[in-house]
Amino acid sequence: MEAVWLVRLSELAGRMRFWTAIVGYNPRDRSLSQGIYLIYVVIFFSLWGFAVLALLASLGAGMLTLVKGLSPAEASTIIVGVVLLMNATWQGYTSGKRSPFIFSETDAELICQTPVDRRHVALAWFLGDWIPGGLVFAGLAIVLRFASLQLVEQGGIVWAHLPSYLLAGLQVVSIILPLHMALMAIDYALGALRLRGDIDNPWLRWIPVWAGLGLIILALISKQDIQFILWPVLFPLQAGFDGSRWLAGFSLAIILAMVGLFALYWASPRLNLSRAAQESRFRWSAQQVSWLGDSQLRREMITRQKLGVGHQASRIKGRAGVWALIWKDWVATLRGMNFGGVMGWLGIFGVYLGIILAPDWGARLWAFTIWSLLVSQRCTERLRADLKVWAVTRQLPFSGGEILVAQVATPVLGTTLLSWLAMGISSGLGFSPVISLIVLTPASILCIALTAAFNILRNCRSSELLAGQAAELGAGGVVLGIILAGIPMVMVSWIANQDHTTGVIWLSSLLGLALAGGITYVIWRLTAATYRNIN
Amino acid sequence: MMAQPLLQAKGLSRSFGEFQAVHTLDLEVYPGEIVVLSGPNGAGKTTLLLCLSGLLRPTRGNVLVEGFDLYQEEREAKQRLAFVPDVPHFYQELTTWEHLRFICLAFGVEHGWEERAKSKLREFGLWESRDMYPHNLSRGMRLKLGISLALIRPFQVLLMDEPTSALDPESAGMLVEKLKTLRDNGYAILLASHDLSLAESLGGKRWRMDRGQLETG
Repeated sequence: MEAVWLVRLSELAGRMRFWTAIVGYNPRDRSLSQGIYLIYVVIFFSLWGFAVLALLASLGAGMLTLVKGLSPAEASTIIVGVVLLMNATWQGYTSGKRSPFIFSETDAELICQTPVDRRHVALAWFLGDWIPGGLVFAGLAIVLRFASLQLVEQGGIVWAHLPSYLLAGLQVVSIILPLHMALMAIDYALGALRLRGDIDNPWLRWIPVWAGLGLIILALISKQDIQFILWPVLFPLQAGFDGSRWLAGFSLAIILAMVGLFALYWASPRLNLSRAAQESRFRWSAQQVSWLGDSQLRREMITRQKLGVGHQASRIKGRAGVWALIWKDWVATLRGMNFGGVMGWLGIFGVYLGIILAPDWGARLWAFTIWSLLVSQRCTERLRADLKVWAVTRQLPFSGGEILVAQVATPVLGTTLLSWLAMGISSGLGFSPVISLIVLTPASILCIALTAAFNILRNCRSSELLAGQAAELGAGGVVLGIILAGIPMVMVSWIANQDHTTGVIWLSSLLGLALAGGITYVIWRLTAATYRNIN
Repeated sequence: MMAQPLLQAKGLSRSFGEFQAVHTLDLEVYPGEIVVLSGPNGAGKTTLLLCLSGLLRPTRGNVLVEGFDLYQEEREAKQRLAFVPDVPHFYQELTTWEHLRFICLAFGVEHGWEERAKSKLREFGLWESRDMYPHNLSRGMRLKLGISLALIRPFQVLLMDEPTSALDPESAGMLVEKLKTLRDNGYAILLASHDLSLAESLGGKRWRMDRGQLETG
């Protein structure tokens, strides 16, 4: 076997060992009991995975029903097609900017300094990255396929239908994986082209961006043309989602994957591995930190990488006193804002829209839970960042209550505005939100944020804060936030259900607001006391 | 008549579980006084300073800064107290200059803050690095930034933990002169240090800590 493949396979085996160690399986132990345990683990996680996907399929079914004028299979095809192409565009842009091939320090010494065939390196590294990348799309496709089946059969998943669900899942996965491979291989080929020899081609990164923009414009101008151009992607997806012409779709997906692999093979003979190793050193370190589960350190590393060496002084005007904290938060937020941060805000917006548009109370509760989790995390990010600078923050001449309000004010305001924007949009779509929701949302957000802060502060220790380690948000904080924010909402809904007159609805909303305000005030006092008494 | 102590600890102790890091003690530091706290590693010097600065809550006892209780009259006490840890941490998104700006805003220093900030940065050789993020500064420079942040704001009591540990001899000498000037202007200074030459050059009182016990004699 080629040395390159040997090195790559041993690396992948190391990654696998990480996962097997997590589930308690030792691949070096050849005993019968370990063999039986492996079978048990495989069956257990297969069933668990199926159950999770089936559960998510209920949400997916709700989402598909919102798409009017299209069958579930057509809607799924469009959703997955758009997600696949958007991801390919973004990955293409990043591959044209920095090496998609990530090398460890050992690789940099063992592989990059030797005259090994670059095409083998490119293929080996690509295939190692493809599987984990494709799993997300496979999961999405299965959920939507199950959702389509649920809508067609109108009865949810029952065990009698298990074989047909499994078959449908396999059909769609067998198509989505080679399609994803084709697009990802083309992105990697673009990266390999940029890394040819010592020449830098910064313009290459713009090819996928222009292609993506071209497709969007074409989609707006002519539906038929876009369908014609994207036929190689849409046809296999359609075949996977409706089950008919699966063989033709599968064959086309495989052909596309082969074309992608060939493009990569063709683009990589002059791949400059030293440049690739240099460019990917940081991401390799970040990956290692992720494997160790230290998400906090990873985020810090990424922020520092983005910040660079320095910056000219901010021109944002500051005000003396506790406003200084808000000034600092604005400067820090604007400086530290990255793609992930923007996506986080969009997530809050999108999930809130989901709460309003959800077809039933079950889906609404799910969406509310996810939204609460996102709000809890977003609204306490700055608090946690400041806790890590305990020696500075603790010396500030402000009370715990003032510090808390200053630190959650900006994210609470941002979340509230986004939520109201979602309400406005849903209103435009014909889903007018009830008055009580408009009134109670800011109080609920503040309540969720303060409960999350309370949870974090309760778990903080001075000695850890002095070492720059702040406690993570615990599940208890999120659950408590959901309960406390939910109490006024439930009360308002109950009163409004008794009497639908406008006066009663307004009165119940005001009562709910008073109750939410009271709960929030108590939580704020408790949290401030916890801040003051951190031991 | 003796002046009122600027820093006072009454019945202060701190333990971590079963381990008593600082045994019950009383201390007083007066205006115009420099106290150098020495002792072996693990004696409890840093823990004592952390308790006195409010960064670590004492298990028992209280701390008064110019008569204000650090935990009951937090705001008043903190307006009069500055602490420089041996390894300072900073906000990662704020530059050196913005840290000074932030501290000035937080402590209500609005008029003439820019001149003060410039002079502090020049004094400590940080002017050229004013637009750099602290994580890109060397350890010594970070310590200098920590000292600048303490000195730019209003205070009466200055607490420092190993203030010269990462400084070059020239900067250490400059710091000594600075501390002497502060002492002459009536500030109270308590610092922990292993550096005997620092203690010699500063003069003042010498306290010793060993296994959590403070000897002020």
